[in-house]
Amino acid sequence: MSRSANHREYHIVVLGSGGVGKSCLTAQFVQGIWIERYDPTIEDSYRKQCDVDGRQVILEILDTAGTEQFTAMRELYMKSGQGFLLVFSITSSSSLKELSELRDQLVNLKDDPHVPIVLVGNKSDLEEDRAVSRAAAFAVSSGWGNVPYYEASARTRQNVTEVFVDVCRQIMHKDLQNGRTGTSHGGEERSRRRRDEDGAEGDRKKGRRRNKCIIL
Amino acid sequence: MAEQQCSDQDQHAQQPALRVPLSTRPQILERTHSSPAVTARHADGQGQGQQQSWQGSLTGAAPQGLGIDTETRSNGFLQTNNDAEHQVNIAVVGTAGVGKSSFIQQSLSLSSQPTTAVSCCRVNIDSAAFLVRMLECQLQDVIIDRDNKITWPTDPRMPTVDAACTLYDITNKDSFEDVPVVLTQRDPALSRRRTISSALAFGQSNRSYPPPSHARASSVQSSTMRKDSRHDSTTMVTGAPNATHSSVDGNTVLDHSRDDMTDSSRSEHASSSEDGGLDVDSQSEAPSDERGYSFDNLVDRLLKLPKSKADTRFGSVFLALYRKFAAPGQLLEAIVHRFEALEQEDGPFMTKTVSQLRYLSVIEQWIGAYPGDFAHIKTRRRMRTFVAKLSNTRIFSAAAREMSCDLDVVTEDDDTNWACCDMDREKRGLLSPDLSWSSRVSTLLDDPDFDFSDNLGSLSLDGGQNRNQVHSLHTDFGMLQTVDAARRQGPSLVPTPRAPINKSHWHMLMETPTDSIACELTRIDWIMFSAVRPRDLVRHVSLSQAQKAQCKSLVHVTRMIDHFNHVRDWVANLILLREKAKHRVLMLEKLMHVARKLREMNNYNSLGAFLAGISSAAVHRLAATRELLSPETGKDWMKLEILMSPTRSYAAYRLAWENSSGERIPFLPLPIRDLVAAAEGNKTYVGDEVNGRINWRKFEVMGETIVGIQKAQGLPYRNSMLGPRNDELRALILNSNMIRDDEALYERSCYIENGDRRGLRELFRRA
Repeated sequence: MSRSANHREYHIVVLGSGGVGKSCLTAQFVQGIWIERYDPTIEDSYRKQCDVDGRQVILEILDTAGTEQFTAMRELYMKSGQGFLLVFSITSSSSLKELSELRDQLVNLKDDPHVPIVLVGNKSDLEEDRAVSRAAAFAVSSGWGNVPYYEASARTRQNVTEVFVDVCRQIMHKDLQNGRTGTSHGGEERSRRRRDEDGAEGDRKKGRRRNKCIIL
Repeated sequence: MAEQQCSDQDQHAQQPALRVPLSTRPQILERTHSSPAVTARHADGQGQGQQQSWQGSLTGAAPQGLGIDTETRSNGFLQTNNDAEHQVNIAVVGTAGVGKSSFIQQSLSLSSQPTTAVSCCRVNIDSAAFLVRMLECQLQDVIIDRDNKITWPTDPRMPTVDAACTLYDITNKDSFEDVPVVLTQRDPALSRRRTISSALAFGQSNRSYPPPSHARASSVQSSTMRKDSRHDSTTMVTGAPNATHSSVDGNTVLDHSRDDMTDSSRSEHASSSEDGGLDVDSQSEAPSDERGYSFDNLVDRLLKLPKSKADTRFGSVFLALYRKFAAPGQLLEAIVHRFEALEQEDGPFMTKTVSQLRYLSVIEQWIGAYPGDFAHIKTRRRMRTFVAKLSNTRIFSAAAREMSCDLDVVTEDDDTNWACCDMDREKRGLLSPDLSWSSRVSTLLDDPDFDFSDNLGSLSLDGGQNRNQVHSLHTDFGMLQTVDAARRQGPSLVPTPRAPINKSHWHMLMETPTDSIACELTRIDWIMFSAVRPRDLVRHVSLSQAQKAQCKSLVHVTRMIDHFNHVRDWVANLILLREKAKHRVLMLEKLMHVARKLREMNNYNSLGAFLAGISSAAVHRLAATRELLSPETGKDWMKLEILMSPTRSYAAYRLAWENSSGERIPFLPLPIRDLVAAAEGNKTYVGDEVNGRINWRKFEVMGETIVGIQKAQGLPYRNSMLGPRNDELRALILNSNMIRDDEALYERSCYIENGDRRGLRELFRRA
């Protein structure tokens, strides 16, 4: 699925409503420190090499910040990614609700209920403004087939690397499983594209799911 | 006298003036206005040979430095104390009675009008002494031969001409008659802009004209020229004070500025003389990218004479974005404070005035581009006071008149109460004139006793007469008019679904030439794009939903985004209309060709929408249709996909955008994303906000995007390029009733083509 090279390259798309801090999260992950100049126009501003379970990989991140209103671009974005960060702000309950639609579209498009997803509650440093309880977020994540849920803060750099590494790990597991087995378990969730199941390359392997929330 | 005289004679007395004794030129006994310097040449007995040798020095390679080359020096006509001394020879050209003598007198601070054709003066500029000679000559004595080579009237005291000023009388049309002829000539040997720039430092406050030798005067029409001059701030910075005078030939003023900013080898002398002792502040704190800049550092840089392209860009970027860290009142105070400080400073009158005029032109540029910044009631009043006071000084009256015109059209808009605004400052009590820090601010801005009703009366009368003329030259105002026109047209382009797309539409579209479709799409896009001002985009990405609701202009951004989504759906609907694959592929191929044409026209926005439409799940799954696609078209389509691919931060597209020299429309999602990422990924301040050290790098990055948009907006698609408006086609694009829901589109797709599922699966897996 991904290019075979010395360093595997994985494509991760960051989705979510406007103003939840997607670009901050991306900039923090790629850049690291605040003070340095972050120039989104240069090639490397969305690429980062990192270590996932002892393997060097390159993550190419597609940040959709600012383009939320361009609904026409959504399918293109989704098509180009292998793993997805679905980001909301813990200070806005509507930002979490809006993710459900995105997730449905994603699952439909990928024809895979277990497409690698991490649910990210951003702005965890703004605890006093919290509008989404952890329980509510967990409920959503388990409704999506137990996708991992993290609370992160781009400002304090809490869990920033972790969310990207987690989604990358999911992609790698998926690759591994696809390579190892051709047996299909079938998805629990009915997708509109389940009709064309022919088993030849059934890859609906139920991935290893961890239900966790890491707060540092 | 036509020349605008320098108002302050006393200032000249301070300037070291060295007059050449008359006795050194005994040949001319009586000099009149009409006495051509050529006469002097003959009287000198210097024949053709001498003239030739001078000409040789003109047409030969430009010698280093400002001096005269040794060949002529050896003729023995020049007695300078110091051979290393810099010398500048300036020809002052014009018909009789335009005020050449006065011009020279004022420029060189002579005590009386020159009586000889050549005047000479030692001027200290930036601790270097210059020997400045000015040669007065008649227009008709400047001989231009067929090769566009200029032969200057020679004079033994002035064997070479480094630069020239052309004068004419604004009250006498005849005196201008020959000026354009001279202006279009070029003398390759005279393209030494170092000296021209030096000459500018002397000439600018008076009515100065580009030298006859100006190499670019004839290339004003070139498209790159138009593009650059429109938005680069130097256009105003160096040119604006003259703009009011040059109503007849505004291009030449633009030309000046272009020279200054493109020529990296431009005169160090000229620029340092401009800056001499003006930006002391910027030295003391040694600001840097790492340590951030104080607001004052940035204002100093804004007012500095631009020396490079980066400086030019700085002005546009600063004015577009300064609101993120300062209110308009604050900036106005800072500029006026510097303006006044300059007034009280000792120094050559000319350089002071030139700098002051430059400051004013920055304000003009500002008020022209962002009138809303001045809409707060107090700010407007302060600006009025300032303008009224300026208008009392003759040399500033033209600038004052122009600013007054701009002030007349100031109305409250989205800019007024955005980000750092004067309303908030007023709440904090910072606008009342009797606060401690306002001591820094002059009575130029806050003068409760000042009665400006009289001044304003006369001012607006003047302004009324000249308004059209003045504004036609004011590039930013021209821009505003374009924006206004686009904003008026915009609402008519909002899609109104009328009839569903049917086969007759399909046939009509198939019969319409590819180019016409691309042109019509581009026409629509252009109107929408030019209605969006860069600050609207900044607001679009930085304001909360509630704040956005209060901004009226954001509707233009929203409209363009909606149109983008509309075009994508339109494309998908057209392809999915027909039930047979052999019909669908015709439309698919047609639209792919349109996309290629859009790319050729540099309309990346519609190209992006086409890509989104053809790559949408509903269309992408049509394997049977794609199989029928000709390989060439498919290959070409892949190229377009690679071009617009988001990998490596849209590197391919960015490269194409940078290299699109002509008219262009950006792929809108990208600049918006860049603005968000730059705004969110960088801090506004270095360290603590209270230190006020601004992280200018953030604004540089944002500015990159903004300048890109401004440049594109400054170069409209010409009607000749887009062809006549095609209303039928436009209606077909805008008024079709289509399936707008992705799910429904997908169902339609499955309905018309559900054959080979494996193909479908592969297509999806490929991604």
